[in-house]
Amino acid sequence: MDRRDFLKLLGVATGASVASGCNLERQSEKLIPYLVPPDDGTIPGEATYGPSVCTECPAACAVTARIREGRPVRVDGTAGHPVNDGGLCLRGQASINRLYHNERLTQPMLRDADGALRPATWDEALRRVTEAWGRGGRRVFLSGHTTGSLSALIDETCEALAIERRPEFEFYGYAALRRANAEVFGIGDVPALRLKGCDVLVTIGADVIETFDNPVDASRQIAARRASGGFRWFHVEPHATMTGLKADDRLIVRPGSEAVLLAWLVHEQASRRVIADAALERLTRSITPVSVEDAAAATGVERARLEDLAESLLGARRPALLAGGVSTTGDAGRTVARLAAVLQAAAGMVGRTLDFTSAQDRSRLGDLDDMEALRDDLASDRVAFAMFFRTDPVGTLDDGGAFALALERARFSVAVTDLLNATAAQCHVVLPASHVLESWADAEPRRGVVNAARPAFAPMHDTRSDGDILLALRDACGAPAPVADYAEYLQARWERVYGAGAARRLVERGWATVRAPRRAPSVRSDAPAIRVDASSPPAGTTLVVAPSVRWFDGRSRQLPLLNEVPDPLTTVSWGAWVSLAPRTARRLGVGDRDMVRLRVGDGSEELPVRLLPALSDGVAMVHKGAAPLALGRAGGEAVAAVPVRIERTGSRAPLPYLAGALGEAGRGAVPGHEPRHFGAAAPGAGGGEGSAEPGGGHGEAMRHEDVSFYDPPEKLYPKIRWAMAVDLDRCVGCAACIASCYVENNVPMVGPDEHLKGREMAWIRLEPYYESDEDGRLVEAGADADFVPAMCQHCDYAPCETVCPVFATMHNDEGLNVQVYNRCVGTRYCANNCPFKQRRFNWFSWNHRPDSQNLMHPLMVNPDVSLRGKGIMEKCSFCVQRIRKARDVAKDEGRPIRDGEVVPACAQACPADAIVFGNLRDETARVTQLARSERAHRLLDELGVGPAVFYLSSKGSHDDV
Amino acid sequence: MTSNVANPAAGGAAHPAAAMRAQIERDVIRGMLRPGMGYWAAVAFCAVVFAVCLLGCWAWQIYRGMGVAGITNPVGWGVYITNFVFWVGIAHSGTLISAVLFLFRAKFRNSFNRAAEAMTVIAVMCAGMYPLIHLGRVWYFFWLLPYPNQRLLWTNFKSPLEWDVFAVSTYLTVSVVFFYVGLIPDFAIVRRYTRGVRRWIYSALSLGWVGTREQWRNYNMLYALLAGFATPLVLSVHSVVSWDFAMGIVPGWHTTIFAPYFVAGAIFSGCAMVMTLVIPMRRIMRLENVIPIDHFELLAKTLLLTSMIVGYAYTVEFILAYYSGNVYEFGIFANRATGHYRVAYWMMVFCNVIVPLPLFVKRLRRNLAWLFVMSIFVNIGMWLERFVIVVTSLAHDFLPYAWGNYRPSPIEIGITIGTFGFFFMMFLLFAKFLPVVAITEKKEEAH
Repeated sequence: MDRRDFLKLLGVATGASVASGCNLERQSEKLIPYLVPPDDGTIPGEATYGPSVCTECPAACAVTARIREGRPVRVDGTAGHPVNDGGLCLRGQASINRLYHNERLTQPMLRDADGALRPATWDEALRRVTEAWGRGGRRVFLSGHTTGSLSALIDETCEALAIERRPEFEFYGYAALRRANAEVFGIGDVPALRLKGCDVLVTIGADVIETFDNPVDASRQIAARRASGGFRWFHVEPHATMTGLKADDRLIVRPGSEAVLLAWLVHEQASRRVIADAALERLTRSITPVSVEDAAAATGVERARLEDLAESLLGARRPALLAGGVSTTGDAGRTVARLAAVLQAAAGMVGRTLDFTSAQDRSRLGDLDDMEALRDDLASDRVAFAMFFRTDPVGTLDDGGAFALALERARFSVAVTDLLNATAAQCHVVLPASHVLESWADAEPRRGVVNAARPAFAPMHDTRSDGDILLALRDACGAPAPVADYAEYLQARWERVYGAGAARRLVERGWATVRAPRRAPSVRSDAPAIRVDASSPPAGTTLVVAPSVRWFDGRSRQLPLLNEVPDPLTTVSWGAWVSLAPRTARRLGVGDRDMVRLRVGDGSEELPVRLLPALSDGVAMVHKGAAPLALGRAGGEAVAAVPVRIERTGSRAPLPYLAGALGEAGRGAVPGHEPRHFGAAAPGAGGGEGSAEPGGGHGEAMRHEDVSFYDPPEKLYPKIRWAMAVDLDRCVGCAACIASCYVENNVPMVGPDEHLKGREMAWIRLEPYYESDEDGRLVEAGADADFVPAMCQHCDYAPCETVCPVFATMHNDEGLNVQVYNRCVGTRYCANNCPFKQRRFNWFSWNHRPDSQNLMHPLMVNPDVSLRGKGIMEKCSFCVQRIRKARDVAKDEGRPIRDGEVVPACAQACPADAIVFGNLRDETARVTQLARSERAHRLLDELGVGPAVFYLSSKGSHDDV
Repeated sequence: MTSNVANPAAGGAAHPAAAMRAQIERDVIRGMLRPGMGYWAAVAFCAVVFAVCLLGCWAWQIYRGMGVAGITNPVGWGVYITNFVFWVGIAHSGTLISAVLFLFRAKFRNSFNRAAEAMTVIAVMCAGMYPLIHLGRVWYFFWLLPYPNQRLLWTNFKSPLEWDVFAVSTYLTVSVVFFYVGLIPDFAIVRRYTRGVRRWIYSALSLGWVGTREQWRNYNMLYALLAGFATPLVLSVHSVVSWDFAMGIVPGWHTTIFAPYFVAGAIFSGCAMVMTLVIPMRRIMRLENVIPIDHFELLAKTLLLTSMIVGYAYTVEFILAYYSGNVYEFGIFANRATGHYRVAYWMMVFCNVIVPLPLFVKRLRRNLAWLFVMSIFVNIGMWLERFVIVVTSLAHDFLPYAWGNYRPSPIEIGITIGTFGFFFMMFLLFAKFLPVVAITEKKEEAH
């Protein structure tokens, strides 16, 4: 071979290998190459955004999915949306975990002859459905709460196929409220809160921050009202919720006594202002007379506090009052709901602060009486075909066992679900539903507002969207719809219902508003009289079953992330438990993790105890979904408060909870609280005149600046000093920031065993500190609490940095305390030396554990943030990836980074806008203004480490000092 | 020293001192004869413990991750760092007995110095393992060394852990050199008693020592110089180790008394460990003539003194914490005495402060059985002291939310036991292959 042949051959060989390397189709199966992007418009490294709807609860908030390299990596509230405006709750933030759930159904399942479910194809599954449908007989369809087009399509499908559509099933379906409002106003709806201009808000049992109606909307409005001042919020409840602990005044009443309180308030209202409306006047007069003494005796609240409540509420310019949650269940609860309606009407709230016009359309929603009817029908052997569409009555109902028995009698049953649940496990056919992020969909969070979802990517598995499943059902049963798929159906319906051009608007922006018919209800003249039993409720322990901010009615409990994030009040992460006030527990001779037996009626259940000082003595609290306790039913709703007998069992259970202590132990752990002094150094003992100043005490005498060897921060970080302000007066304790942080930063989910060892990996946490008395002892029942969202404080003089032998943690010139994963050798000294204990060590390679232990789906990874292997320290980075991104954009545009351009994941999620991030060197930045405010405090300021997180609190110094 | 002779056998039986010197030499060399089955069984047992418990557990920990240990948030350091400080403490008395007592011309050191120096070298090895064992990514341990590299990465000389790297490696180097220099004349003696390969090895190790006047002069100069050089290490090494804690911000660690407190504790634990080792050795190797009871009494007095210093430190810590009026500081100490780890705390006080007190009685100071039992208590107490300092301070620091307790896992316990396997294996090998008492020094004493 001569030289020329050699060169030719070389050229051919090189060209061939380069050409084969450019085969796009083959490459796109593996990785997205950075040099040759795929045809579908994906730009490697650049995110796109798509509108979607949150389906974690029926509130249906508008969300925006962030899509990287063709797959969604997180969801956030859609900014500017009239209902949730950029906010999203804990469950919503965690909902991406449902998309990337390791146990998602990947294909249809069919029941074998031997009763076991086996995988099948769609054709097989639909054929089985066709056969069953063709056999005739009574056919029923049950779904969870639906709105918008899906609800319309269900209607059409059921009509076309001659299937009975049963009233929708939601365990928390506001049955008592809807019935009461129907009785009093003739509208069976739950009004939406309109807090603009409101000066006094009274919530009775309605946990508006956690699960009631639309918690994001309520949190947003409450935070905004609080920030503008002149707003007072009372919360009345028999148990303990974040809503109560975040209210300005929390009135703990005896379970079942809310009706007496309300009746007294109505009479007070009537005595102060002449009621013009005749129907209302008549209805008011029908209410059993109740004096303030009666109310105080029944509720167990001091008379002065009741009078304060009445004075504020009835003297308010623009008051709002809502009853709901556990207070409107049971026999007394119906009275509470009706009395609340009367007071709402009498105090002129309806149409001003309580809006029926934009209330969510719950007209299709049934109640538990409907479910009993369905159960009876199933048990009567008359049902030939039962369809359970995204609903799990067996797993959700208190007496789910009875429903399961009835369901066995149905000749054919089909379930549509994304994760196998108790109902689906009993059905003959299980059809896998796509996640909303894989689907076209819409929803109406309120009347007059419609949210749209377009698929962020193709379904990961062999699943179909809700709408497409219904269309397939119609095809299979011989009544095909005149559309090719659900997307087409939606397009057509949007144009038809919301007007021309609505489809484009919806797809682009994700939401649209339409005019909703105005509804200004007045009191019906035929409203039945209201009788109130003013006698004190019976003594003894009461069990309250309340919805959980993490699990809602139990449906979200299947998501690992919602177990990894602890319950904000008790800090219990994985597992079920019963909360008891320390005083109750002491009387029973039990403590944390002791197993007790709860006897309710004929049933009993064993659960471990977790102390919750916010509960009143004699009240036990369990979250819905924690234990299958049959509590009974009244007024179409499950009773939430029942008498219980609690017995010690003597055994203990490994229940992981994350707080090392319930109280502050005099530590000044709540910003604005001073650490306690004692002995010779107590203030005043040695001329402590400095202690009167804010942030004073002995910290003031040893100001860091006076004694430091280091340069001042202004010199160390001259141009940019990133800092954060957390407004504790705005924070509603919803914990959305925690889930948001997990998703954004690929924070490992480690599971219950590691939590028991205290190895949770959260980068941000919500520390609850319950009230102590003057002697520093924890209040044992009915305690107030402070909640501190705590993350790495990015100190000016970070103690973690000096002790690292290899400079794996250090400051960059923008004041960030950065962690260099690659350089870390894992001495853990930095974690030991962090006074805030914010550093998290990777005890294992969490993402490479055996499949059974690996809670994170390999695709649920934000490509902006590297995964950390074993032996490495990590912690909050102030979302440094977002800072980088903003800097790149600013550099491209040749300008400095603008204030508000960098929004960390926690701040983005916050529905209350309590977290503000920015550059302290920018005089006009919001964070700078806030850091200089009189309300600003820093955690453990006396240590002189110079935290960059400023907590704003108007509470000032603690009573202890 | 000048009376030292090259050939003890030629010393003349008529001279009583010469006879005694010959006896000392025979006594010590006797221990180096061909070992029996019992000895090999003991060595093999220790070796297996070392291999299975230490190497096995460590390998598993490297493979799976640090999570197999019990350490957690907030207690990032547990038994590993406890063991590190414990072994550095043990290692201390070697230098103390050899160097400091040599400079003070305290004759009783001659009975113990060889064993103590051997103990030092082995204990530093044990201690040195722990910073490696406790590293999350031990495969990058060399990043702790300031070596030039293309990435221009350097180490942080502000970090006490970096000081540790130098303190411990310096201490290891100096102890090994000191140990070896002291052995040179004895190697020359042993050389005469051996044949074949062993003789060749001992000859090589003796570096051509023939005991000339010139050699002795140089030797004595070097030895005194090394003793002088090693003496500051007694203070510096353990001071640096104490700064691992004292430089931290953690209440319970961040105090100025830590350096002297740790040095006293180290001498205390070192003396106890010397007793634990030498009392059985004296009996098994029949060295009653070589190591007199008087010398144990003097060692016991040192131990009693340091016990009281340690007891004083315990008290002072509490009073300082109380007097500070600082809630974090006092919280730590109140928690030590009454909290989750109170049993460990009070055991520590009992072992380190109460148990040594009877040494005021002269009879007990001369009772080897008592001394042995007491030394075991002190060893346990001093281990607990390090455990209490390391763990309780981390478990209960500033923010109550972050409090949390730690329990050693089986892996940590295994590695701890494994180090003892290593330690005793090495000590047994030392006892067989090297003269366990400094023959030349004792002979000089017998003059």
